[in-house]
Amino acid sequence: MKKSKAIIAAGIIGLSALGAIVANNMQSPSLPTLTTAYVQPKQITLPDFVLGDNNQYTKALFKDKWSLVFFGYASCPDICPTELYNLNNVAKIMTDAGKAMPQVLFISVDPQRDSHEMLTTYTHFYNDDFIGMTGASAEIDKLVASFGVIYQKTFLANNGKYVSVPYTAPIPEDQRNSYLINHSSRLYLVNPQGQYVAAFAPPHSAKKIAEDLLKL
Amino acid sequence: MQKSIITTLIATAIFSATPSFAAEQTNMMIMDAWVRAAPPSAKVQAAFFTVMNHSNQTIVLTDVEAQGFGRSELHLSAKKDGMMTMQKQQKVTIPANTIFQFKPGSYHVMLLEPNKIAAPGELVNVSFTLLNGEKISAQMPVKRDNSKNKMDHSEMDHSDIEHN
Ligand SMILES: [Cu+2]
Repeated sequence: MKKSKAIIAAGIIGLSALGAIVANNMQSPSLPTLTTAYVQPKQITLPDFVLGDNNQYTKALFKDKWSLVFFGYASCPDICPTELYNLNNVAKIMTDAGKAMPQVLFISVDPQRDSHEMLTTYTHFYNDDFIGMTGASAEIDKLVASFGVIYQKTFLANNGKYVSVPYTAPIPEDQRNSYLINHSSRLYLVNPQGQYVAAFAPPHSAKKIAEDLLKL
Repeated sequence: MQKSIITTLIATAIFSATPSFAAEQTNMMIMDAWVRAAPPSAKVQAAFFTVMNHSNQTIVLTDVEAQGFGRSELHLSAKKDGMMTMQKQQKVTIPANTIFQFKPGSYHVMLLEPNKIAAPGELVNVSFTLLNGEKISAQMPVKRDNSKNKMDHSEMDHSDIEHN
């Protein structure tokens, strides 16, 4: 008796595991073999979120098109401008090849200083099609968690040393305009089903990113 | 203005009465300088350039100032704990007889508190203070990017960090 129960239980577990694999493969078409991007072992379905001035940016944004997502902030002097400039080069390569460029979403993790309007000017400076957005930290953090992004506020303390704290932590008054943000600099690829499927790790080469995107 | 890649250097000796001494001291060139263009709403800009130290001595940059900006700092972008971080450098040491690059993703001069964001085509006068007290300045043109050969450029983006 005992033995047969165990066998049935094992069978059920085996079946449901198989079912899960089948279901997973059914809902997400398989990715081509990418050369530069790190493919996620398991595709991550993005959570519901609401960003933008008029709550216009939601999960629906990802529907039916490929997307590239980068997290940063508008007062970033080096990394973010380099990234957006680079992505514009990717867009040029894609256009030249006659392929659609994935939509580019620049998500600011710095809503305390960045406004929606400012982010639009900022992203359009690099490419008119790039979309800049921000929102409540709680909403941003839902995406941050799904992509595995890390970011923190960093400021120069009185002792001349840099101090890093969580973004929403209070910091000295005189640092409220001049703090910097340490942030992940991966570029995330989201499929038309709204799943995070792969990431490009820095250093980013426009040519190599485009080579992978051309396979999609 | 001018399209020359080599930015002319104006080296000023503190003791102008002893010019030969000064000439020996400033055996250094700043080349390929540029300030990255930013949207008018931006709050910061960054300057990049190549320093050629033709002398047998190290050159130490200790301070930087830029016209039109309230504050300028020597900075280094580097990867730390999975994040890109940027830290102010008290000084930057250029070893003897070397070519040292300030470039995206690495060393740069961060220009803060702009009177007005410098637009493409404009020149920003950036001056450095050396450890020996000398000052060296360079006119840095504002550009969207610094690619000379467009095809190669994509390979250079987010170039890796060579100095730690
Ligand atoms: Cu950044």
